[in-house]
Amino acid sequence: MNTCKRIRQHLELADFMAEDSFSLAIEQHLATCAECRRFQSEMLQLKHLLKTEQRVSAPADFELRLQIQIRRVRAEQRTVWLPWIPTPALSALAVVVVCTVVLSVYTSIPGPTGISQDPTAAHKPTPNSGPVQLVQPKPLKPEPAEGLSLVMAATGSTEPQNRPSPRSNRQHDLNPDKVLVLVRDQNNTENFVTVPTVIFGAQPVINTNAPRTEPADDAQHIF
Amino acid sequence: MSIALSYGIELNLERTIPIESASDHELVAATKEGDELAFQEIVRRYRNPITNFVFRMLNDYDRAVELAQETFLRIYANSGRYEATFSFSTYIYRIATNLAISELRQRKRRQLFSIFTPWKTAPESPEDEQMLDLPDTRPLQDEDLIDRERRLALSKAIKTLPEKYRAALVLRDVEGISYENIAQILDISEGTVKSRINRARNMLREKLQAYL
Repeated sequence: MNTCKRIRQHLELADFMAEDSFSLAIEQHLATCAECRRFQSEMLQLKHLLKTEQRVSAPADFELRLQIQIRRVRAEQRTVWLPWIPTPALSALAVVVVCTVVLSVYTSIPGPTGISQDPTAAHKPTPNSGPVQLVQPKPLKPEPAEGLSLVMAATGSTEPQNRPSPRSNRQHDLNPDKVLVLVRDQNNTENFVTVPTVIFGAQPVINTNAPRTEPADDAQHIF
Repeated sequence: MSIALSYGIELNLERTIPIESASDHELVAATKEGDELAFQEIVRRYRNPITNFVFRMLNDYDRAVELAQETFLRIYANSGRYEATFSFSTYIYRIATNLAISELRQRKRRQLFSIFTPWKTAPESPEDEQMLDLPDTRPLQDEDLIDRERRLALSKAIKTLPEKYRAALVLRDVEGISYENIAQILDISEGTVKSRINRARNMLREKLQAYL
């Protein structure tokens, strides 16, 4: 029985070899064992059946249908182009976008001595009474059409001063209750006037027609 | 009629060869460069073997044609990424095998679902009826009838083989592909290929006992 099993395994591994190529031992066994002979015969018939199995062919319009499908795929590729961008290129683009956003956010954050973008910063109490922050740090130019021009700034100083540079203004303490107004008269003389902080949307109004005698005490004449 | 195939080879030399004598790799390289004629030649060479192979796997001609088309479509779409590591036939048969096995698995899932369909008393189609039909062992009078019956039984028997055995058997015994190439197509060892083929043959032999 073990011999039969071994012979059959050999027949299977021989991959349907022709009978004349079998070894002498196998041939002798096949001559005496009917079961193994039947096994070999069935395997040979099976091989013949599989080999002579009728082959099917592709239909006549196979290539035409394929061409249509290829054109459809091409059209889809043209419309949906994004997925065809190679992944490294997309990754590089994403990195560039992220870096740009991070840089823009970083530069917009004020530093310890930076200029605040918040126009209401002067009204907010700060615990450390930080440096003066100019709301409008543009250089002043003579404007002949106007009698007076205003520049508002927050400051801790109540004394009128000469026009300070932004750097010198930063040296002052911030007083949230006062607003320093730079007034330029018709002679282009500039004076600072301290006024109370604007509350509830009230805006300082300067009457340019009113006679001005003491610029330092303008707090009462402003409103 | 000889159509010239122009393609670039190493050292930037250009040579022109008849398209019929170009190797598969050369045709794929030309397809990569946008040569439509080269791709048509690939289709002409492999449309029948691939259709036949998928048909033997599925026993469904219409679906076999669709999957053969899908195979060529994938070849075309991925020609830019093709690397000539194996022979082209290995590459195309691997795609076709994967598609066929995927289709068989989908069908199996659908069949599993139908088992739980209640009150199914009669077969819904003639094919279902045939599947339940036992082989008639009585001798037939006509040789043609016998042969037709035997081939029908063979098709049914192949259809009942597990997909992993079926793929190996069809590739070897129907398509005549070498063990080495089958191992590459199925991505398994050569020993496993031989084992699966032997197992499939024995299963077929047992199923077709009445016809052998």
